[in-house]
Parts: sequence; structure tokens; C-alpha cells
Amino acid sequence: MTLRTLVRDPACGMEVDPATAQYALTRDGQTYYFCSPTCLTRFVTGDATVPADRPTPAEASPAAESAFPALSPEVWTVPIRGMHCASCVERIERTLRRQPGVLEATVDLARGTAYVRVIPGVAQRKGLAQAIAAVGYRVVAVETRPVRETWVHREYRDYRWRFWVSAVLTAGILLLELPSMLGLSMGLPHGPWTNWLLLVLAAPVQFWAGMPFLRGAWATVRRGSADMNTLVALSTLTAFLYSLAVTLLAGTRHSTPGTQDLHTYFDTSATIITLVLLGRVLETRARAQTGEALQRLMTLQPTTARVLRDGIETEVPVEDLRVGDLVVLRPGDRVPVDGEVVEGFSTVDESSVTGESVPADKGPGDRVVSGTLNQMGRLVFRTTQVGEATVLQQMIRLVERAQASKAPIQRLADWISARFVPAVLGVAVATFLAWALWGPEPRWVNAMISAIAVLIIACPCALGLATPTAVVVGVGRGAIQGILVKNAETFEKAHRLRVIVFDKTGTLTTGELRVQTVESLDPRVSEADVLRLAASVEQASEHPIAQAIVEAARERGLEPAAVEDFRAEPGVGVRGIVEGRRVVVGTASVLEREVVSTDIAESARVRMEALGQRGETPVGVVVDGRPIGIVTVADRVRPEASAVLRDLQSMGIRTVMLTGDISATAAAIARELGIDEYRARVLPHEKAAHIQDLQATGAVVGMVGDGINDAPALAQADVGIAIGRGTDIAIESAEIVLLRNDLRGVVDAVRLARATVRTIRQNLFLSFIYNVLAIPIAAGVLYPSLGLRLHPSLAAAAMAMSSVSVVTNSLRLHRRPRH
Amino acid sequence: MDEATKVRDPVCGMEVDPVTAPVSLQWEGQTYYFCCEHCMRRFLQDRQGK
Repeated sequence: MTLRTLVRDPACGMEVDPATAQYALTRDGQTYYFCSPTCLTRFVTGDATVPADRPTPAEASPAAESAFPALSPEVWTVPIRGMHCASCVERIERTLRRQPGVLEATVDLARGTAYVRVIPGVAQRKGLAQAIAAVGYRVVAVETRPVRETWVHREYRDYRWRFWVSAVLTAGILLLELPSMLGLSMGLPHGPWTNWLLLVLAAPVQFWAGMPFLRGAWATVRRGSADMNTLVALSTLTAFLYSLAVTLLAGTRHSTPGTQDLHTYFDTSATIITLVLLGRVLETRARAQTGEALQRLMTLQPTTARVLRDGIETEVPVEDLRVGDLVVLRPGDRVPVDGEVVEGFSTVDESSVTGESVPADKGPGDRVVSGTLNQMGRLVFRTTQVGEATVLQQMIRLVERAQASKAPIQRLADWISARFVPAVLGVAVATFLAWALWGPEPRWVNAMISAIAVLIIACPCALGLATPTAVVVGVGRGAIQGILVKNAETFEKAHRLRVIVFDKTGTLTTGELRVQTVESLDPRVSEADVLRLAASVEQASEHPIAQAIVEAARERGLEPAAVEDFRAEPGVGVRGIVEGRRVVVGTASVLEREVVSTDIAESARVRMEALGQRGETPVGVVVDGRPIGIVTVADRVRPEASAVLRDLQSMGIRTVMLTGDISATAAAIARELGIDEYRARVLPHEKAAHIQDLQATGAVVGMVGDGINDAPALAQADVGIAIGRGTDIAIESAEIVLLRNDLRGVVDAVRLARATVRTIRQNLFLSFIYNVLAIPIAAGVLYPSLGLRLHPSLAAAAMAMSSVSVVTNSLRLHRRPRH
Repeated sequence: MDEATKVRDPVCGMEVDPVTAPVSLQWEGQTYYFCCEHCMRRFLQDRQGK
């Protein structure tokens, strides 16, 4: 057989056979092979260098091994300025997805950021930035690492400044207008010079304070679409330009006859801009707050660490730490990277990472996790994970990605708002025409004012903020409690959970087997001897049952004797020669085979079965063909397990236990825990099939496991919940990872999902109902019957408040008490 | 090495020695040699435009 040698296409990562490749490039003595002309072109016109982190194409690998590591996509963070509205989101996502090397793009409106999953080396930072700029937005930077400071903060400061200037000028305008608004003749007479003064005050509001809207609107006009900037710009410019025309015509010495009595609407344009700015100020501030959980995580990693080298402590940047370094922690230090303690004793506050409030004791051999806080003593630890691999960095990445992910319900909101603005423009035109045809005099002015009110009230910004803000707060809130939710969709699924399946070992139980009882079957043999002989044989075995027996013997001060001729029969038992006697330790079937007298064997078997009924696993000890005793081992049930199951049941969730135990044992544990249902004798690889069975009944099924041997079941479940050991965060198969080794996290996670989904629904309702009710009023539907109209300034205030109320409602998620 | 072994750069028309050519391209099974990176890029642009 000839070994074909494959190389990798440096553009797409596909394997290519150089012997048959149609496309190749030789440059500087290096040959690159490509799967297609597109890849070749991309490679040449894009980044012309092979990324250093990948093997060069010349390092060919035999096809038999297919040794290329899967090309791992990176997530880039792109802060974008100028997005204010859900209408923009769809456009930017579409644009980004069209760029070469981009696999997936999601825009997080709440944080003003796009997250782009790319193939490194194919996607170009500059290309992405240009593409976004081409559709009218500003790209701050394309970060290949998550940004540490949110752009929203700076945006907030900018809006605040514009707002204050605008507010002062608008106050001046209103003071001048007040007398005529109240119909009073006193005070300042309303003459031509008043209009000029108003113009001087209103112009900076319109063109400086309102610049973000004008710029945004211009960008949308250029690409032939519309968003909320268009609405604000169109309405304020209409009022302003109309007033300007009146001022110019009436304000000169030879004024056009009839224009003297015309009113100006500088107050309208200025008030709208000021109020919309106020809305933006409140909104950006609230948006900045929603990202707090993530920022808190980011501040947990210190920037420097004290490294012990040749007995000398030196302070180095955290980035310079390598695996195997010795790091010194003084009292009060945060742990910079993950590692294992080699020296010292202390307590470590892990609440920032796991949510566990009781500090953990740490001594040699214990793990320390990045981001946790060393409390009392000095610790020296050897680093095991550094850089992006640390628990803290993984958490940050996960939270960030989850916060940016889209709940399916949001796609609907985006879709609606993208079509909403053009529809509103239509309604505004219709309103204008209706008032112009049938409205009261002055008809054209009334028509204009009503159309402006429609444009202002219909801004869909609340709709755009409804889902993402709730998701960001929900994910952040979870992270603080040690509940990592991988994406927004998980909330929707977890809130519909009807069945939660628990793996028994390690999930409902602590996973540590312990000896429960030791019984002697022979009056001449003491219980201690039974245990000692069993431990003597079992000390050579790695099995958990064996370890429990050896541990129990040690606890009772029994010294196991040496074993010879040790043999293990997996799943059945072990045997060996101890002190010249043939000792066999194992299940009931071993007993039957080993014991000479069938009568004795039978009675021992009956006894073992009885013990098994209690939910313990019995192990028989046979010496020279005589059963001398029975040792039972059991896994301790987690202390919080039955309370958790009760809570879930009260929330309307059916609980199911999967276990490899025999029926009797499973039934005993199920009774003790109060679990609804159990399935016994389930082999590890059958767990996923059981989940499938439950799903076939139409229920949304969750699965709780440790993520190690039940990964297929976690993946099969609609919501996989992994109880982490605080270390393995990126458990792929689970949608939710509990950092704290505590079952109560399951209840907290379901509660959080329900609260988040409830908030999203409230938000969508708030923003929809607001638009649905307000637009007809603004259009003047109530005018003929009630004489009720909506003044544009009032519309602007209402619009600002709707955004703020949505964001505030989301922030409420954060404040909700734990239980 | 005599003149006959030289080939023509399809973009600028310069004669290039296939052995020492700084850049060469396999395209639809054909091999093209270029005098420089610039010509190769031009070649690709033309192909793309087609």
C-alpha cells in the first residue's frame, strides 16, 4: 500500500492531495496546495502569510494518520459604533456573514458589539472593518481577544454631554415660548426677533447635539433603508426647516404677507432631540450595567504574579507564566492561574468563581482556581493551566459568548423591527395626507405636527433591547451564582423543562463509596478479620469498591496483610493468597461458585440479597471455600439531594433517576430520595437511549450528570446540566455547567431560566403594546371623537421612557432574591 | 541553461526560468511562472474577474 500524503489547504483547512491538486502556489520555495481557485485567491489576496500557530503546508502528514488538528475557529470581538436599533442588527450580521472566513456573526445590541466566529488566516480584520463601514457604521477595532472595557461606557459619556448642552438650550427655547404657549400677552412679545433668537438656540441642538441621529440617518439613506435615526432626523429636520423658512420669510423687513402670524416649531425639534438624548443616556447607562457581571469576572485575574525561581520571588506579568512555574500567594492575593498547591496551608474564598460562600481549606495537593481569593496563609502552587486555558478565562469567554448569543425569540423581534421602520414611514405619510385633506386649519401645519409625532413614537428601539438585555443580565446573574449558561437558547429550553433525569452515581450521590456494614457469617471469625482479609486482597485492586474496603480497614486501624497470586475478574470479584489462605472477595455469583457446601452458599446468598434491598452493594468474603462474612458498601446520598428533588417537583418537574444498580437497590434509593421514577440496570452507554425514550413522550427533558461518562446523555437531553468539579468548564455536551459541586444549582438554574424568559416576554409585551397603542393616537385616530392628539414632545418623552423601562425591567432580574 | 527552457510570465511577458522563478502557480492543472508576486496577483485578479 502506498501512503498517500495529504497537505492542508491553508485557506480553508481542508486536506488536499498534492498529487492531484489542481491549484497550488509556490513562493519562496514553499508550495501551498488548495482545494479550489477560491481558496487560492483568498489566500493570496488576504493575509499572505501562513498563521504561525498552524503547521505550514510543507509539513505534510501521512493520510493514514490524518493528523491535522481540527482547525479551531476563533471568536473575534468587534465593537461597533452607531448601532442603536434592532434594524441595524440584521444588516450588520448579514454583511459580516458574507465576508470570507466568517462562519457565524451575532450582534449584541446591548453591548454595542459584534461577535464573529472566523477561520483564522482567512478572515481579515481589515476586511471586516471595511465591510461594516461600507454599510454605514463605525468600527472601533477588531479584537481577536475579548475587549476589557465596554464601548458602551464611552458612548454613555458622549450622550450625557450632548444631552446637558441640549437640555440647557432647550430650556432657553421653552422660556421664550412659554408666554405664547400659555396664550398670555405679557412677558416677552413674540416678534420676528424672537424667532431669530429661537433659531440661534435651536440650531446647535439640531446640528450638534442631534448629530448622532443625523449621521446615522444619512448612513441609512445612503444604503436605501431606514432605522430609528431616520425617524428622529426626519421628524426634527422637518420641524426645524419649516420653522427656519417661517423665520426667514417673516423675519425680514419686507416679509411675505401672511407669514407674520405663522408659528415656529423650534421648541418641538429641540425638545424631541433633548428627550431622545435623555433616552439614550439612560439606556446606555443601563446597558453598561447589564455587562457588569462580565466585567466583574474580568477584574478577578491579577495582572502580575509572584514566581518562585531558584528560591527568589520575582514579580512577572501573568502572561509570562508557564505551566510548571511555582507561584507564591500571600494572604489577600487573588490566584492568577490554575494550579496545585505544593506548600503551605490556607483557606481560599472561591465564591467569585463557584458561588460557594464557605471558604475552602487548601494544603499541598489541593487545586487552586484562577480568580479565587487566598485568605489567611501563604501558599506556593505549581501552575497547571495558564493563559486562555485557565478556568477564569474559559468562564469569561463562555459568559461573553452566551451573553451575545441569540434567543430564538429575538430573531422574531429583529425581523419585525427591520420591517417596522419602513412601515412607520408609510403610516406617517398617510397621517400627513389625512390631516392635510380633512384636518382643522392650519391644515398643513397640523399635518406636519401629527406626522412628526408618528415618526417619533414609532421608534422600535425598545423592541430591539427587549431580549438581549434580559439575556445579558440573566447570563451574568448565573455566572455570579456559579451557574454557567452556554447560550440564550438554553434559557428558553430550560424554562420548558418537564422532566429532569439524574445520573445516580456522582450526581444524586457524592460518588464516593464507603463501607456501610461488616458482618461475620462464621462465629470463629471476627468482623475485624473479615474486613482485614477483604482489604488484604482488595489493596491490589483499583476498583472503587476495593478502595472503599481498604479505606475502611485503615480507618479501623487494621493492617492489611500481603497478597500473593492476585487476580481480578472485572465485574465479579478478586482473589489471592493471604497468609497461606485462598481468599475470594466478590458478588453473590462468586460465592456460589467458590463455596463447597451449597447449603451455606445459599444462606449467604439470601443474606446478601437482603442487604442489597437496603440500597447497599454487598460483597461476600470467602476463605478456603467457606463464606466468612459480608461487607456492604454504598455511595452516600448528597445531603441536599432530597430537598432539591422536592423543589423541582413543586415546580412541576418530574424527576427520574438512572442507575446501573439492580432494581432493589435502585428502589431503595429512590424511596429514600423521594424521586418520582427510576430506571435500574442502565449501562453507561444506554443512558442516552433512555433520554430519547422520555423525549419521545413529547416532554422537554433535562439531564444532570458529571459530564464525564454521561456526555452522550447530556448531549441527547434538551438541556444538559453538568455538575462541574469547578475545573472542567468547557464540558461540550452540557448547556449548563454548575461550578459548585452542589445539586441546588439545578433548582437555581431552572429558576433563573424561568425568570429570564418571563422578563423577555414582559419586555416584548411592553415594547409591542406601546407601539401598537401609541401609533394610532399619534396619528390622530382619537382626534375626531375626543379631540386628543399626541404632541411630538410628549411622543419623544414616551419613547425614551419605553427603552428605559425595558432595560430597567431586565436589570430587575439581577436584584431578584435567590429563592 | 539555454534560452529554450525559459517560459513567459503570462502577465508582464517577461521571460522567467521555471527553476528560479520566485512565484509559480498551478491553475486548472496548468503551471504558470511569474517574475514577481505582483504579476501573480494580477493574474489571479484577471481570473477572478472572468
